[in-house]
Amino acid sequence: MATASGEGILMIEDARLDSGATDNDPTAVWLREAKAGDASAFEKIIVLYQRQVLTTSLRLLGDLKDAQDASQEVFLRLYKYLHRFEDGREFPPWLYRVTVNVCRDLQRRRQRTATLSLDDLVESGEMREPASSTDLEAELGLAEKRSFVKEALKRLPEKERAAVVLRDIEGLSTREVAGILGSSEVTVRSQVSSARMKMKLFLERRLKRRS
Amino acid sequence: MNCNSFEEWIALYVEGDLDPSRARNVESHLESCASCQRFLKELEASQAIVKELAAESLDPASFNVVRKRVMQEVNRRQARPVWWRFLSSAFAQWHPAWAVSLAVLVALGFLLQWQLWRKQAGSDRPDGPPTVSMPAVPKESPDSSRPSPSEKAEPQAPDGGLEITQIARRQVSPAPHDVLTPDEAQPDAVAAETEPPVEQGSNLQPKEPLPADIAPEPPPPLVIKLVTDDPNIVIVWLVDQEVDHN
Repeated sequence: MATASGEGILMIEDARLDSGATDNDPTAVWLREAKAGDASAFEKIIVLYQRQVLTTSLRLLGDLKDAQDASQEVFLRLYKYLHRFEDGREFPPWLYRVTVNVCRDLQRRRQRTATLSLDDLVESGEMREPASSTDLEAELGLAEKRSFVKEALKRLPEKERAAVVLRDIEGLSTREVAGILGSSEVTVRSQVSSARMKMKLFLERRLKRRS
Repeated sequence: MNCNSFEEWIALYVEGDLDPSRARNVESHLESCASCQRFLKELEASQAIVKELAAESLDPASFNVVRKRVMQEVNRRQARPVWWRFLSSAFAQWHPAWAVSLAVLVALGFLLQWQLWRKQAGSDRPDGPPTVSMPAVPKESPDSSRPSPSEKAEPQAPDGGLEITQIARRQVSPAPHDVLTPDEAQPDAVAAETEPPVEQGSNLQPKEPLPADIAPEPPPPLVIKLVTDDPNIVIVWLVDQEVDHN
């Protein structure tokens, strides 16, 4: 929920998938008002969902400036295609889908990331190498952990990254992720499994280098 | 199943993503496999680190930058004239497939017009097969109740056909003597002219084809390019402009 105060800087709470579109749902009301041309209603929608959009973009792109550009594009697309959004439809999954698509387009345009190939790791022997420590959490500081995870995410293939971000970091169910990505649940499970193993290897390798 | 196959399942089992029967398989394997037990522990540790990222909070200023930029653009768009917003909204609802379909229809129409023009231009040559032009029969003619031969030949030919014929005559082979004036247009004469070319051609000497060195160069093909909304889709239409040497 977001409440306006002063110039519109606002208390932000997380908008999750459980906010179904009903008449009592503020999102549904604001969407109707925004469709009718009410800019302030549209701004309320931005405030409510900016965390979802910006953090997801950041995890998919790995760079705050890129994530802000992507978030801007997501909300402008939302504004442009607001009339296509049917009343009664769940809004957050739709917004996740737009976010994933915008980030994918942006990333393809910029072509920055090098992907981490699991096969390369296997060939280099790192796949078979036992971890130097089984207690990764105890050895890493919080900032370092986040930094390593972001680096690992950046190096995952695009589809695996999207699947693991939505499933493990955004905390959506496999079914919801499949709906957002337009894939089957089996495909999402396979992508998530592969991504988790790669992330584990990457984190272990980083920890070994660090120590 | 070997341990490598189990690792893929363990990567799902660790977050409860396996169906119950497979989860039981994994559990029974884990009881007897120290290597997979270690793999599971390592995976649990790495997953805990990955999930730390979910708790990361961003500076509110980062959100405000986005919101302000979006609202500036929204207000700019709302300040546009009503007619502009109406058009934008109308075209925003266009599906790309509709635009492509329309483009193809326009292209087909253009091609049809072009073929008609070529046909008319070819038939206007002095030694070509005789044709009847629509203007030759005035609508107010006393015989207008009777279907004219030209109507028999091309029953669908509307007034538009007249326009094409005249343009063709002007542009390709101006031969005013070929155009029948309303005074000259006698129904019988018209009927005679619509006889099949073979019979007409009996009075004509068949022409020898031009030698290759005298024959004019064939014109380059006409290129019609249709650019769609999608920059990856460009419809290119090549229309061969044949020269009739007869």
